[in-house]
Amino acid sequence: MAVKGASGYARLFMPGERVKEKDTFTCNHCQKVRGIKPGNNPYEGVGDLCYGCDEPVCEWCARRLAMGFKCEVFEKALERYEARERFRASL
Amino acid sequence: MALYSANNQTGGTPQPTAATFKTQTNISAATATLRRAAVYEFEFGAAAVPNATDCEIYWDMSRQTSLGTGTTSVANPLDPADAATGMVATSAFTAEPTTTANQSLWSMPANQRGSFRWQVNPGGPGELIIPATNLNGLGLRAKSSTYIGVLGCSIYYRE
Repeated sequence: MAVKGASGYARLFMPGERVKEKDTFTCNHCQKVRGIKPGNNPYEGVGDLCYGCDEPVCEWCARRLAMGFKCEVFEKALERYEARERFRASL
Repeated sequence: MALYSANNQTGGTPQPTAATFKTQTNISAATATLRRAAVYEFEFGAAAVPNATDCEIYWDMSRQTSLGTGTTSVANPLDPADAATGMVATSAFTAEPTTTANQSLWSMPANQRGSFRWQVNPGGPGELIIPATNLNGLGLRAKSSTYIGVLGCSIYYRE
């Protein structure tokens, strides 16, 4: 069963060893992938839950939120980036 | 929802590993068929005899904004009934693409004997999105201080 909050799954295969497995989440603000562990706070040490979008974010984006920056989901940043590049290409 | 796969064995000769990052496979958008794509799985490992000295290979998935010099590889639809991909898959790089600083989405040092797989549900949360902007893409790259053989990697994505 996947760890609460996980969206991905990572496996490392080494000859002669048991497969090392880890659930992962993708930061909803910048798309960094982080491994998580079971427990009350699966994001401890690798991120936090954003109360703006109710999705996990990586430690860097969690720090930005703690500094007072607002929640900005990746889709929003992507739309802005694509619009800017479309404008630049049209010049 | 069409799913595609690309790897570094279907386009050009894979380049030897070096002490600086070498992109193994890049998936990028192209003006003619501009659209977004979402990477939902990638896997990698060494594809040659291990070095006698046990060593590391450092892997990294980063955003890239140019194509560099490489060979276009074949990106196949997983369902043969699907249309050809609108993205461009490139491998066997001889000149590195431009990698956006501080835009590494995932990185990991692994033993040369290890292989790795990461996946999310296609169409579900956690996919790595490629913007619909010309030459923008995601590149899986690797470096090693000791290992100089070739590497194998596959990237699966959704359009």
